[in-house]
Amino acid sequence: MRILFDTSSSLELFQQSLQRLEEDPDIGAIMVMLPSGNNHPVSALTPLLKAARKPLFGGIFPAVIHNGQMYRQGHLLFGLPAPAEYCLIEPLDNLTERDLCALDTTDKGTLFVLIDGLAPRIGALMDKIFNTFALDVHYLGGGCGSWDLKNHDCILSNQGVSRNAALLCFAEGIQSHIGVAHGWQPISKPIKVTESRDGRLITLDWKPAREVYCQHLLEYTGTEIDEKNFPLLAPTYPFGIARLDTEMVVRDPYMLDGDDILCLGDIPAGSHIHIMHGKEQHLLDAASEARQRAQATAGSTPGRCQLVMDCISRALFLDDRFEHELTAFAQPGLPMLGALTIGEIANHGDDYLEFYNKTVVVGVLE
Amino acid sequence: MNNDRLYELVILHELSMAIGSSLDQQDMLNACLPLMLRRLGGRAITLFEQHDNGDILEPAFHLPRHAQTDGQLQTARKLIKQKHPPWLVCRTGHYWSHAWQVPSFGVLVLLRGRQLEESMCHEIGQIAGKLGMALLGCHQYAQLQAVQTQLAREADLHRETLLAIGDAVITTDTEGRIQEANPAAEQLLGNPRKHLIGHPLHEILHLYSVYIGMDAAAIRNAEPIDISRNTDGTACLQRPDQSIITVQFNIQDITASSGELMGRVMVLRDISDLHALEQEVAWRATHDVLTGLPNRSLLSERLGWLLAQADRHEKLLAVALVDLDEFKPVNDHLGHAAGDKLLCAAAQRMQEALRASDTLARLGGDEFVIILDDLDNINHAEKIFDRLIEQLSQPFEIEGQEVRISASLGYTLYPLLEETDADTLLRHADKAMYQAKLAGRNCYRLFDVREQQQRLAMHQHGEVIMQALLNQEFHLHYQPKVDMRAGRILGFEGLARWHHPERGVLLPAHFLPWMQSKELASMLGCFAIGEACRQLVRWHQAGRDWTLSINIAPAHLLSPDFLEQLDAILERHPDLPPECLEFEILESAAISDIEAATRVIEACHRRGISVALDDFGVGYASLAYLKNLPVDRLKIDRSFVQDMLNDRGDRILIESMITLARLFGQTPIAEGVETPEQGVLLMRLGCDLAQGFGIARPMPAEQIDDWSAQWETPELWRLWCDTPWKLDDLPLLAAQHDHLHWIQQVLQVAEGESLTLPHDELADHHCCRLGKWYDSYGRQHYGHLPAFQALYPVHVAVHQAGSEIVRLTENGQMAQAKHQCARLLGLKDQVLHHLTELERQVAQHLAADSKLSDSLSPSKSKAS
Repeated sequence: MRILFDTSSSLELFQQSLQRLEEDPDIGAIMVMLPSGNNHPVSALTPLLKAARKPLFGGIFPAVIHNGQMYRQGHLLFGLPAPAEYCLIEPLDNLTERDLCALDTTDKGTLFVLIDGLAPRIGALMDKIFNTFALDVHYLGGGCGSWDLKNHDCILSNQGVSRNAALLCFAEGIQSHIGVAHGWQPISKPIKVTESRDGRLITLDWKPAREVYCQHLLEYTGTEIDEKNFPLLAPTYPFGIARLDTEMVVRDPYMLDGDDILCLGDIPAGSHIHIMHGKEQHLLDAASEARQRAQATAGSTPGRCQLVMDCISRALFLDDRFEHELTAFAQPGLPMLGALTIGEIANHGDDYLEFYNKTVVVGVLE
Repeated sequence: MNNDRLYELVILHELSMAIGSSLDQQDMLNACLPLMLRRLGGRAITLFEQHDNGDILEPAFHLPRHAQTDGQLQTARKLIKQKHPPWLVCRTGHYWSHAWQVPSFGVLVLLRGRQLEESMCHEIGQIAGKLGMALLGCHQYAQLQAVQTQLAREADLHRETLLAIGDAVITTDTEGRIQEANPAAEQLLGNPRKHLIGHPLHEILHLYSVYIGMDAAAIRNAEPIDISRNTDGTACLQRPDQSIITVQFNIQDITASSGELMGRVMVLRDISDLHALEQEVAWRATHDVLTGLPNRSLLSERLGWLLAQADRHEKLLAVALVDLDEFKPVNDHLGHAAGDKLLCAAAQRMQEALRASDTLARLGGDEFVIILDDLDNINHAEKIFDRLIEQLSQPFEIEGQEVRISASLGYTLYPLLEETDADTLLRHADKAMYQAKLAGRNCYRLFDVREQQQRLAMHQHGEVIMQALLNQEFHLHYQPKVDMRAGRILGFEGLARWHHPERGVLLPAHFLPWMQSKELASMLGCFAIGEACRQLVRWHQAGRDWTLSINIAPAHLLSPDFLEQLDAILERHPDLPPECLEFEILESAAISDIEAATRVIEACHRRGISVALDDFGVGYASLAYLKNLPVDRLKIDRSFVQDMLNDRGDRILIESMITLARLFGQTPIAEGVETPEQGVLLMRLGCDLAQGFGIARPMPAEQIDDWSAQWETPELWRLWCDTPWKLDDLPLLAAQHDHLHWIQQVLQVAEGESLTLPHDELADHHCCRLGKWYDSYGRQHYGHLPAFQALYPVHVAVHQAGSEIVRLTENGQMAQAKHQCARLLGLKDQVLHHLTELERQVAQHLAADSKLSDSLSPSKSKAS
């Protein structure tokens, strides 16, 4: 297992790092995490990726995390000790469980799940993944994308750069211990989703979603919500879908579209959601809790590194204090790498696989 | 309420609301169970379906799809065993299994990392109950939907089927009003659908029996078929445009499973083309295509039927076979097309000559069969045949040319003497037709059933005789032939006898009639020749110079291989003196083919064999023929000899025949000589050779020596042979014969038979032949002789006794009559004695006169 990081956005340096891992006989596969701030042209990036002889998978993220620091430029390469098998699903609409079955996960290991964070029907993909692999593996991953939350090509593989795609890579022999937490608290009673389509909320309690949402926020904050201030306020007032005995699943509203509210991740009609709000300390506490939960499941087993998938909205929300969250993950002597994601993927403990928002997922890898 | 409880209620509500989200069972499970798994934070969820028998469960839905469900199945089974509460939680390895009963369905099992609170389990149990009801609803809805789908499909199917069916299908309600009619029905009935629906079927559809035919006029007067009941069949259908088609139809009730009558369905199919084709095929199968007449098949059927009718009504029926004479030349010279036209024309004329009820059929070629039934008598049939033959003999005009033909017709009648059938009648008619051909054509002949029977018997007997010949059951018996004047045995005639193993020795009358075939005649002839040869060789070796004659049948004599067969036999007997062998051939055989017969006779002569013409006088042969026939001997037929003493005509004929034989240089020999008197008369007429029972009956070869040793010339012959007696003395010569015949007739009267003698010949001794001679020529020439005088009183007494016997018998005095018979027999002996004495004295007297005459006139020939 080997981590190469450089803050430079230089493609040549990236190519050199790739070359080093390619040449490292102890490395079986390469996970690539690139910050979107590199602005690498797809046309320039693609040949480098295609030139890789070892299995290569990864994504372009809003930012990468390396040893307690967030970087919006550079490259972060994670060399896996064993050969890894991956499956590129492009586009997501064509996904079938039969495609997933092609991936051999008979041995113990970790399934890295990287997905275009702005792709539609991510919930359906999660269902299919869970239906296929169940709890035989541990899941760890997140949504790729850019800092500006616009659609870009963001999934990396030996085939090049893809969008509206997902990539599942099974790292055989790499055991992981997962901790998930977000720290958001409900500030509303349950609201019934009476009409929705994927991540688009259309009506809540039989009223336009925008009206219901804005009314609650008006009551809670005294602020009228409109298209202009929505991007500023909404990230601090996400939706939460209740689950029993565990963290709510947070859905991040990111845009108004008429009377509809667009969210990251699906919110099925018929479900009940709460409007959530987070306090900085709660979020920071959640980061610690996530690390502790991961550590708790690992027990005395010493990890070889710690992979963190932290939601970009948390970074935006915590802003300057985000580095405290990153610090909260840190464990002495354990290398940390990760990325800011548009949605996080994990199964919390031993239960259902989820696509989270505004959540931090910590995986201690053996 | 704390948040956890709130969340619980939210989740429960959410789950509760998900139930019933769909009416499809799988859709509902897809909506509910993943949500339940996700919201309840489970790692796996399975819904087991419980079978009707209770225990065995199968997963109806489970997540993840590929997860093992064995552990959950165990939990589900545990829950089934416990009656209350309707849920349970148990530890399964590292996880907790939660199970809830899903009423009417099975068990829901959730695998979870942490145990759910009891209250939550209870509330999820409520949801599971709701889920069960919803699934049941889904199931029932699915069933309902399936039924609806099936019904819709069936309706579609029925509609499409109805449209696709080529047959017309019409349904009616129970009142008979048309409810549905497919396009084929519209087309068939010639009515658009709008004119059909709602109208009573019986007003639209009129079916008539096909036996009425396709005639619109006939249909107008006919009663339509009743279509108000279940029926089927073939019928004529008249359409609105008055056209008539043939349909096959079937009408059936439509009955619900409850038995309620719902209406009726009628299916019609236009089979006009098929019907026409069937009729055409049927017609061709039973008719001659050229003439349109019935063919052999239909003839056979009709003849069988007519024979049965004839039996039933005891009527006469005639079956005739007609063959056109001189038809082949027409075919050959004018071509087959002309021949066909002639056949049609001839058939037409025959039809015209027959009655409407008669049957005319063509067998093929130029052969026709006629059946005349319901005849009064044979004349009735012959009148029709006369008319038919006459019409066919009239000239035909074929392709501009006059053609003349005639017809030969043979017919037979039914009933016959014996039981018969149609084929036999046709065969008889064919044979009769052949006879008509032989009779010169252009005529008709009736089959003679008796002749047929005789032929059959001939054939059957012939077979038996042939076998008998092969079995060597035939032998020759030998009848002597003598020279009466010389008192010498000349030889014998070999006569075939059948030593039948059961019936004994059979005379030729028992087998000759059945030996008409050449083959049998040849067999018997060869046998006789061979046997004769052997016998002659034996006699020759014994120093006998006797001749031996045998009869050769005409068929054998004239057969091409006769001489070859003869030579083969002669070759086997090199010691045979051929001059001793003689063939006797019938006069009729000789004249049937006189040239051939002459060739054979001459061939026999070349081999040293003589030939006699047998039964001479009965063949009515022309003298011109006879004079050229090179035979050696003429045998005067016995029929002339038998009555020669009484019948002057026979006597004259015999004398003529003897004269003829002398003229042609042939030796006459008389056969059938039974009395010495006949022999005397024959010698007086110039025939010295004779054979007959009066000399000897035919005898086996082994008796010949004894017979020849003891045979003596009758005294009468010796007495008269050299006496030149006059024929006026014939009554004396015949007196013994006459007297014995007279005595026999009288005695028969005494035995109860009627009298055949003329009364004057009975009572008056002057009226019998002897009496007349006695009173005239006898008294004049021999009245001085003592024997002549002695005869008179006895002759008178005989007549008196005879008259008395007759009288007594007529009076019923039988005892006295018998007594008189004894007296008569005594008188008979006296008469015979006196006659013998008288004959002797007359002969001496005549001999003396002759010597005196010879001495006075030396030129007078004895023979003359």
